[in-house]
Amino acid sequence: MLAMQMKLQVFVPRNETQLLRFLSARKEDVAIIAGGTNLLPLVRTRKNSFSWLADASHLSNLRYVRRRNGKIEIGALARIRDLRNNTLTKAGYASFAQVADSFGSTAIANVATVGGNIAVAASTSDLLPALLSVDANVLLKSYQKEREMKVENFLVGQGQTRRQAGEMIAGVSFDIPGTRSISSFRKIGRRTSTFLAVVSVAIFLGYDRNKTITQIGVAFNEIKHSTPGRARNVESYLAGRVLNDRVIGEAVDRLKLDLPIALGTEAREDYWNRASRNLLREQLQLCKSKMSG
Amino acid sequence: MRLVFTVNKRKRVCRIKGQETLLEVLRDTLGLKGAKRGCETGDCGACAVIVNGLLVNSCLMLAIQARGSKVTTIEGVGSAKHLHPIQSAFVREGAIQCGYCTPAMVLAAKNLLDNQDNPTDDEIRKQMSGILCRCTGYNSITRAVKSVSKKSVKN
Amino acid sequence: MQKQQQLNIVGKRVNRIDSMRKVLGKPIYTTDFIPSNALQVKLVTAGYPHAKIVNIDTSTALRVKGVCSILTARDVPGVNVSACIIPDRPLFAHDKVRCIGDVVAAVVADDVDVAAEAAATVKVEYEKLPVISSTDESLGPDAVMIHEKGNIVRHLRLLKGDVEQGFASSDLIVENSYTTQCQDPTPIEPEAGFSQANSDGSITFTAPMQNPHYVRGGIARIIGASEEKVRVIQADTGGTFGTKSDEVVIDIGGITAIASSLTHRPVSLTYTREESMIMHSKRHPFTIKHKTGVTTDGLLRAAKIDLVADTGAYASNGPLVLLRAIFHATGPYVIPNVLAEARCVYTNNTVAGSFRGFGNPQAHFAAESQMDAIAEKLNMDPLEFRLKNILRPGTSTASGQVLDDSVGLEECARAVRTRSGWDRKRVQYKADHGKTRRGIGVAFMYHGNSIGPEGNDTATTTITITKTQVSFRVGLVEYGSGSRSGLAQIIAEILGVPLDRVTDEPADTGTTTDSGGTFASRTTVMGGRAVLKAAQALRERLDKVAAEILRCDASDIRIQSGIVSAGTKPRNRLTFEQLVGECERRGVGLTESTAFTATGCSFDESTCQGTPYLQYTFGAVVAEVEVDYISGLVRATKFTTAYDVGKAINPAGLEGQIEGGTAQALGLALMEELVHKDGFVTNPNFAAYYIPTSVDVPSIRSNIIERPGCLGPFGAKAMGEPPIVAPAAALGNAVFHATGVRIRDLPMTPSKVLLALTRSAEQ
Repeated sequence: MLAMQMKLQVFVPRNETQLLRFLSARKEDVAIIAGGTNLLPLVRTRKNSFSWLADASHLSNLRYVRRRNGKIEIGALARIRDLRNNTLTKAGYASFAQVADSFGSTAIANVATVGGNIAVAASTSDLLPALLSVDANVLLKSYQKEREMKVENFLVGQGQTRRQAGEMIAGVSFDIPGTRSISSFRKIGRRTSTFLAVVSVAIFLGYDRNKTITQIGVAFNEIKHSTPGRARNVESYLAGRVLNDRVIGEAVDRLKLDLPIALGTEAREDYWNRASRNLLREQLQLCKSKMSG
Repeated sequence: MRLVFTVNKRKRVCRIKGQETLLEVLRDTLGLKGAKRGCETGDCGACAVIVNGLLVNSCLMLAIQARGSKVTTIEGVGSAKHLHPIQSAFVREGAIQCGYCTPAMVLAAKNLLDNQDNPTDDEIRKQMSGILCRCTGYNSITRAVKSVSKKSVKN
Repeated sequence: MQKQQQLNIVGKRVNRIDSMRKVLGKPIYTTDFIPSNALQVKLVTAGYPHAKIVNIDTSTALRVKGVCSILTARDVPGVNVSACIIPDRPLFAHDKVRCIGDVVAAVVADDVDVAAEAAATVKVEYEKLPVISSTDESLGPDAVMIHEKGNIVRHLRLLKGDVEQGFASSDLIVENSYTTQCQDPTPIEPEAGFSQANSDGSITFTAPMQNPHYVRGGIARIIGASEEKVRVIQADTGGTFGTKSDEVVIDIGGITAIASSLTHRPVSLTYTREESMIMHSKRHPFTIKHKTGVTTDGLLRAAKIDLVADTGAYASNGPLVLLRAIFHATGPYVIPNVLAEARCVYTNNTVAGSFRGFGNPQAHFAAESQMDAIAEKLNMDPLEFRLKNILRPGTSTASGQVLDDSVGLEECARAVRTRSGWDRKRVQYKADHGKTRRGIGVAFMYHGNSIGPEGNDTATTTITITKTQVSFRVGLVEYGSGSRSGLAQIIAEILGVPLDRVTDEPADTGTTTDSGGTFASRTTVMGGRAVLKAAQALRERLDKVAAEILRCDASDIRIQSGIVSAGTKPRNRLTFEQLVGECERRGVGLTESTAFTATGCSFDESTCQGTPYLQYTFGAVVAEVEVDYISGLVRATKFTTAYDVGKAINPAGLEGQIEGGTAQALGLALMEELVHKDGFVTNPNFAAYYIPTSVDVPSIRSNIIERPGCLGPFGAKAMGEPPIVAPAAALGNAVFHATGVRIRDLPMTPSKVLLALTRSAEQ
């Protein structure tokens, strides 16, 4: 059954101001297209609720990965391939490189953007667990104003965010980690490569001389409301502790307090529960061995 | 809308509709049929071309997004009289069966070897993983790319 | 048949004859050359999987600017049927729809967007009917009838010996049930085609396809014309594996032909990936129950097998898939007592029909998992246990067919055992205990060649020699396997010309005679015999003329690389071109048309005893896996294969078929599943239907064994389908070796594996 399609038009802004002004005027009737990896299939299957596409792909001022004021800032148009950039790995955020490596095909990672991945706000947005684990902020811009909020608060539900009409995602930022920190990311799915995440976890750990955990972020692709989120119960248990086998076991046990409410079928929930525990245990063990090594 | 870009080293100026994809413009406006429609959701890679040195799925790019860009399609790689070494390798290694994914596979291989000498088997497979082939089981394709990389050919 | 002698082209690795145009990206596929003035079609398909059609309202759609015509059942000039064997499937649904792939109307317009807009406004009123989602439901006592004649399409029985006696004389009885899923062939080129109504009232239809002559017949019946009025041209085809063998090609042909006749313009229809996956035919899901009796020393005594196949809303090739499945249901073993029952059943799922393997991969997944399960109970090495029971020359199959010498299974088994390092790895992998564990498993197979008992098996060809080229025409088409190149090799070998002198003409019903369908892996075997026969007849004529010129006996004539000489007096020679010129001057015709028919297949329909196939391809596959205990993901890490191919015509082509077929079997085993939920397909796209990528398919070693068969040219056997038959079971057996857990329902997804591992750890 074919749905009626909204007549589609394309606007090509010359700069960011033009884009914001256009958004301000037409609000929800506009979708910003950058990599196109989510929008074009939507348009083709006639599921678009908007009638304008605004092409942001050439706004190179939004394509940055930089350090500024003690923070790492990533522009909305930075592509997934740009996350292998030295600034991040030097700063100790291996998890972003891992996201880039497992993101999907080369052709997709070449065009898919950070902003686009956040806007989709789905359990298949691989970047979100990594951003959540480092307690990132998202910068939102409209023609009238700018505002910032935690990515965690920005996400409301599957495909739903607190982005207001006329606003665009401009970038994200997070603290540059101390020298004693570790990050990791792993996603699992139904194939060895180029797959949608079934379960993914990102961990960020900051620790002191005694290996006591001083900072902790553990985020999954699905926690409560079926959106990416932080496993707060696991985090609060791990804070202030030293990783050993017993502590890891206890932390994994705490995961059931954070798990998604409903995933549709018993089989899916069953698998998710078990796989997420296994994954968390594995990744915490990995962090533990990186800390001693 | 007016689109000005370079395709296979030739400047092209086209009248396009805003929502046309790069794939549609390449095939239907410019008559370059090598890039194929396989799924139009960016999952099969049959439409892959090289834009500004990056491999992209042309079904996921609006044509207007390629403005001012340099695009390479299979038609810009080798000719009957002078096959590109990658093309010769594909023929020699039996890496072509139905041939539908072949243009994309050749471009993906070219893109890899243009940027990297001597990729490992794993790196080759990873690069090709976004292009689906239902006929060959990929081993012959990997062998073909490996055989060319040993000779370190850059364009 | 050719005597064994030095072969110069057959048996050599050669470049295929169609590689150049493909590697250069030439516009050779159908959608690359649709006429620019063609109208486009968008189909309106069923809104529900099972419903009565109360009314179809096209009034709004007809008013959309750019719409030329909207077709429904009443616009069919001839017979409103587009089906394979049983005429149970309409081209346009009229009184009811039976699956969501049913076509209700076709909108013909100036361009595809207009057609799509208009199609969205076609209003169809339905009266919903109960939906049957499984064969269990379909066979249930109160099941609604999907077709008037009931829900069972075909019921077959194979009976050999006395199973009850056999079980009574067994020391151990093992019972298990296995299921296989709906696998979609997903050729990378979606189905498409265009028709052109010619001024003389004839129709020309161009499309990717497997069977030009069947399509011609199908279109002719739909438009109510004689076959002479329909010309069908096969375009270069971007893969098919069965989808372009079944109804959808006739659907596209019929609809565009009607539209073209009405509008006097070319008319084209191209499926999107989503439409393709919903509408084309898929692999039959099977439920297979095995009860096997064996002695303590590991000899099979009895097998009772029950097979049920879900053919979806229409029979398609289901009846024949069932036939192949029941003949091969035991696996390649000697079992004195066998009782097999097989039923092909309707449901409201989308249509299952031809897909490479045609029932045999399913049958072997069950049979070979069962053999492994028995070996485990007997505490025997799985390979050893199989060797005790395999078919050998002079033994009798489940159909009571006594096999000739051409049974290379034992050699295949020994080859994979040695080359895979089987014995060492069976011990070594068992010691793994970390978060990934390795396993190694084996499966044997056999595959009856060509269509066997399915019907008349004939191939025809015409070869024409001119001074510059040798061209051949055959109705068996090329769609990727390279088998047509193999035919060229045979011709080049017999005539003594270089391979590049041989060209194949497009498969066009206007110029090419019928050779039946290009399926059942019959091109090399049947097409090969036909071209061999024709080439030999031409060679005789050439030799006779050459002998006159060179003053020697015809039997002394040698032709090699295009040079003709007398064996006894090698100084005297002429070129092939000169010889052809001489023939032309003497009025010796250099065109030969022949037919080759396979005879001798027959079986008793009530017991399936007889000679269902004239020869069998045998094989053995060892698969190695790594199971991730964190996620349950199974990774195939290596395949070692050996096949008795009779005679390798082009070893490179063979390897291509082995590697490609193994990859598809990997998909069947580990990741592919087209999900039907209450009759709706939930994942008709590549984002949610996973086929193997280059990272998923490991190295595949092929070992070629040659035990010449009685049917094919030079003793060649079929190798298009056999490589897809065994690997899934080998993978399942490898997973069992790695984990101690047996998954009996394909695909072996991470979810199933992890849950099974957890359950087994808890016990």
